[in-house]
Amino acid sequence: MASLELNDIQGNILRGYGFPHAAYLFLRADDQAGGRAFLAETVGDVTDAGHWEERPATTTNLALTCAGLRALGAGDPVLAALPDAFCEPIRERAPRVLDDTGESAPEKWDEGIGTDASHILVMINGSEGNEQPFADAVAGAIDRARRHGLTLIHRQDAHALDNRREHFGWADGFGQPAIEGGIDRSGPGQGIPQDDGITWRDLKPGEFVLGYPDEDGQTVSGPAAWLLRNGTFMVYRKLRQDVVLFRRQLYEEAARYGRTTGLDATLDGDQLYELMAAKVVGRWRDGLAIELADRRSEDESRKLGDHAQDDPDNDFRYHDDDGPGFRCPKGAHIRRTNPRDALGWGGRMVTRHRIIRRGMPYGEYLEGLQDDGHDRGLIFICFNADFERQFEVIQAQWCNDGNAFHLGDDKDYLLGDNRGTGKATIQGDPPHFARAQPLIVLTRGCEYLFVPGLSALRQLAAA
Amino acid sequence: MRTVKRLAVLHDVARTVGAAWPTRGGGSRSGRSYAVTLLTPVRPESAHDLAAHLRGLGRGEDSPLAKLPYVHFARWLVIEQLKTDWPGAPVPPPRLQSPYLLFTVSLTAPDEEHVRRREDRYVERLPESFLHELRSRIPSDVDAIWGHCVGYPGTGDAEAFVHYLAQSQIETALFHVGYPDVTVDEVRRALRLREQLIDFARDHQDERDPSRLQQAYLQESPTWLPSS
Repeated sequence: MASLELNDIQGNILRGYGFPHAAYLFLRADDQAGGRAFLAETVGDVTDAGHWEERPATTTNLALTCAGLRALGAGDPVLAALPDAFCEPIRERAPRVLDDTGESAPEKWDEGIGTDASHILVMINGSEGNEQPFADAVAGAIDRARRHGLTLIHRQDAHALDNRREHFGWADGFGQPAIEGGIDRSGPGQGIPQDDGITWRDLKPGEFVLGYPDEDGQTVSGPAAWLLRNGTFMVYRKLRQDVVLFRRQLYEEAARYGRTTGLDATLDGDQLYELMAAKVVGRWRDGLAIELADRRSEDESRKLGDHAQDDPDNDFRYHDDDGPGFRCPKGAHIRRTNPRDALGWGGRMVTRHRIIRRGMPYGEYLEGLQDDGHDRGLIFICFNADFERQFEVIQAQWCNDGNAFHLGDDKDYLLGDNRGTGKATIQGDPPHFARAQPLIVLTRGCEYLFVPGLSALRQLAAA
Repeated sequence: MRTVKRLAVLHDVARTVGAAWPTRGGGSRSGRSYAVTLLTPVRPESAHDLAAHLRGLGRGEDSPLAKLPYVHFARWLVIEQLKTDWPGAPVPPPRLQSPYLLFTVSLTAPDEEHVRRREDRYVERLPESFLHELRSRIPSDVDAIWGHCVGYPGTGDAEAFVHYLAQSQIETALFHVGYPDVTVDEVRRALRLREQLIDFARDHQDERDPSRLQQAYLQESPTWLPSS
């Protein structure tokens, strides 16, 4: 097993920083020389995956779009060797593959994002208590860009919410893949289930970092290998969340669920809300998996939005004890995005479709059921070696469709069904057919990017 | 559905003189489902135009394929040349004498129990019945595509047209079909019925009184199911 070249791999791929502040700066390089000079000056600041003596005040990471690689002069032989998914203009691909249609169509996206003006993404994170160094780092990056003749075409700020929340109220970020040679701590349940029914195996690093063997034993070769080695592909999506609409509809659905199942005789409105929430996502709002606990104790069954479990247990499977989905519904969000062994074959159908998530909420948290008209949601970020095989399978086949789970064309309740029709079945005796929620999550931008290793960045920057 | 074919292009390689056509083979059949695979040589100077034309074909309801009622899936593909850069590729590498147009189709024939003589039924007369249908339903699309191929006679003469394409059929050794006796129309109606049933189930799931549920069902379902 080759060990990972941690000092060449960008830090955010293998390490979830867990920092509360983030800024995403999308830059356009109007001329090649300026773009390269900017890279050359920035690469010294890029945070790698090497060991931290102490936690830094800020981190800096860089990603490039296909248009950016072209603008920086990567050359046709290299560009021709890059995946079609990466090179296709995202405004053409997203409606077709990711179902960004209607209110999520590219025409509705934020200015500049997802166009061929978007070349370089600078990602800056600031740790707890370091608001000023963070602001300075962001200002510094913008100033450096300006000095080299780059244009800031889009800026997105984001910051963590209390208790690891995302805006719908769930503690988020659990269940990251366990990677061979990885640096983040991981526990049972994050890797690949083994046939003994007990243990789990770490995933091959090539599923997430190019240049190392993946689960199929493949690694990179060809004219782009120098660029790809120690890098990865990145999905960036701005997802606007209609929090009030979601909450209202969940309350109503929870009441209906109570009636269908007769649980309204024993559970009050708040308890039904938390149970309904757990059923549609697969985790209770504090992060505990419903597969491990299908009911909560009396004093733990309400207001689960107020705290997060520190280190929720991920050691669970679906196939043998919950095939029918009576504990964790077959269409629950986490069961769709990581089916584990639910698709049969001991989990082998899932192994090649995992992603690393590094998203961050944006916008102020809203309490209650009164909309304030402000923009809030999730900056969804994930890393994978192959868009088509990993992120796009999860999005298109597992979230936006139900066929893999024998659920027809039922979509993930949490992401919403932009047709406004359809259902989400909560399996049980009796089952409950929840109404699909339209328009609760809208795409407001998308980019496919490449996150190079540091030596690749230096090579790109060199004239 | 995927069609796995013998590489009949090897026939081309074996006969580098290029005088003979690939062997006419029977397509694969499962129930009333059938797979057609046609391979026709493209005039080399026309290959570029043909590829551009195929890329420009309408999508969805605007596709010429949408006018073929029994076809589940179909695909046109231009094979420019054999790939030779894979591990274990034969040496010396085989070469095609010209580009080829591949047309693959999976279809399900209608149930024609009312047609007394079996041999008159669409399914028994495949592939010719399908080829006749191509000519009668989308003649100008067919001309615009196969017009780039060597020896194409056009749609003027039905027998010449059907003979030309039948000669270019290669054997489909294996194909997958989900429901061997279900037509496109029946699939669409089943999906529509499923939607309507879902709406009913979702909207009436709280009904505790069986007779009221039955009443609602009897009232609403006639609008879903086709009248017998």
